Amino acid sequence: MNQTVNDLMHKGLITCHPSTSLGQVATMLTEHHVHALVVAEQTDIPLGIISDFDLLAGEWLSVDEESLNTMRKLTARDLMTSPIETMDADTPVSKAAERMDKKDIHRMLVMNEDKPVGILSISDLVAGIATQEPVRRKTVEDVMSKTFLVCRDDNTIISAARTMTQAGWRSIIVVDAHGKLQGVITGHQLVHLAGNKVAEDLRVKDFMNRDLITVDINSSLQEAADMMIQNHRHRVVVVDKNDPDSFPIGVISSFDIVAEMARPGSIWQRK
Amino acid sequence: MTKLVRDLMHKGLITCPPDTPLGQVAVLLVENHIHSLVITDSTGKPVGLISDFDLLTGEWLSADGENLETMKRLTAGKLMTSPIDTIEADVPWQDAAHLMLEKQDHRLVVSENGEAVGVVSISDLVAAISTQTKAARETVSDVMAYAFLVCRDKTPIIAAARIMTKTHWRSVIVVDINSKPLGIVTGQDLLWHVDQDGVYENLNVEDVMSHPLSTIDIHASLHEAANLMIQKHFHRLIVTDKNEAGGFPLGILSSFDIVAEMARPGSAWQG
Repeated sequence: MNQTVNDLMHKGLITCHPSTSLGQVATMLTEHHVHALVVAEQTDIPLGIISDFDLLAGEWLSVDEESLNTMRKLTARDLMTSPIETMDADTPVSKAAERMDKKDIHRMLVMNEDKPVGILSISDLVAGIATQEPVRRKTVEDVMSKTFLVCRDDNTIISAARTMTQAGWRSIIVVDAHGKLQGVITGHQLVHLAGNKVAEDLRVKDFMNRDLITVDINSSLQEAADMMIQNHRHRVVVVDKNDPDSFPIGVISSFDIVAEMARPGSIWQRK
Repeated sequence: MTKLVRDLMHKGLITCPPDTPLGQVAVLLVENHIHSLVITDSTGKPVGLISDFDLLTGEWLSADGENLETMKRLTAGKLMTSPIDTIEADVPWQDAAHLMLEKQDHRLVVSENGEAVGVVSISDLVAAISTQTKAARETVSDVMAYAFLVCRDKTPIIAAARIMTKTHWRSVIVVDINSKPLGIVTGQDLLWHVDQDGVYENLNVEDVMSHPLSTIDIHASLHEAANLMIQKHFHRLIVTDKNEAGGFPLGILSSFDIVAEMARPGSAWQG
């Protein structure tokens, strides 16, 4: 596999004018869900790049009213990183990664025939790695998520809802101060709170489901599906039955199983 | 001000006809990143819903070749939930929550003037709950994320990259079998391992993670946090409580959390 930058980059540029205020830059980053803007007067001539990290300097100085006023007058031009590192769209991904690593940078401007055509960030490289996952379908281990959301049991419900929404994830595994598994919180449970003002001090532990259903990592997908249907659960926690008190290995959801059904080449897709 | 179902719903319907094979339903769910399709008849009228959970029955029966052949002939119309529970667009969102609880539904079709205009799901209600957070900006505890991604030390890096990409999350905390935090994996740690042949399949997060973890006390000011990030060039800090040595992490503070706070209407940076 010889992927090039062109295969992974985010096409197009999200730009701001050099005179944009820092507050406005913060708003644009948040609204576009990006971590950097290209600073340019004309789209084809980028002057620099400004990231969330560059804005920290603003936060750092906002300690008293006077310096805050100074900072408010600053613009994207004052805090941007310039010049921008660039690379050609046909650069092999491995070369791009090597350069980003060496230069300790998080993104580069991608050029095609001397025109800027997109941005390649570390997250794009991570997405490239993610596609290399081998395809198998037999046991829970093959399709489960080994990385999952976790939170402490004394957190507020509102903070849990916020992270679930941000991450587009539908459950959080709950642990105590020692990291020991306590329960799970799902959107399904939060429905009980919907429509009313949620008490700011309502804790995850007051609301989570303590009746956890677990499945062994070596179980078959049929066993997992069976367990979900019988218990009417949309996800079960994956553990190692030989070591039941250890930190969970992951989570398997009904959507993970369906994603496997959708995979080209799965038994469901063959004619 | 009470929100209406209209304010929360996902506008429009993603539909399929009743004769859609189950494998195709799975593909549509995964491609659209949704958990349910609306089944419409030849006149476009919604007649049922089919969710990832309904498809589990398919997985459950695919254990042997004979059953699988039968299942492959089944269609969306056979496994769908019907009739559909609907709710009016202009009623308060409490009503949607109540109806979902009463009927044990995960989603409702929203209608307006007798026509289906969207779907409201549990995730939409969770998103509405998450916005009820207080506006404060003084300490780390005011803006940090209280739930975060975690994985065990033996997780393959490709599996971690997949969830980072899916959730748009930029770091994963690595813990051992006894819940002890060992380190953190970010996109930057993965850069080293992008090469011409892709990524080593047998490389685990413990082989690439950064450690020790850079931490900050939950009671510290945002100013202190920004200061530490800039000086040490950290993009995120693990939040702990100094009164609780060795406890499971409380959360994560990233440079983006601080910028999101700057972007909030009414913050010192806006207006």
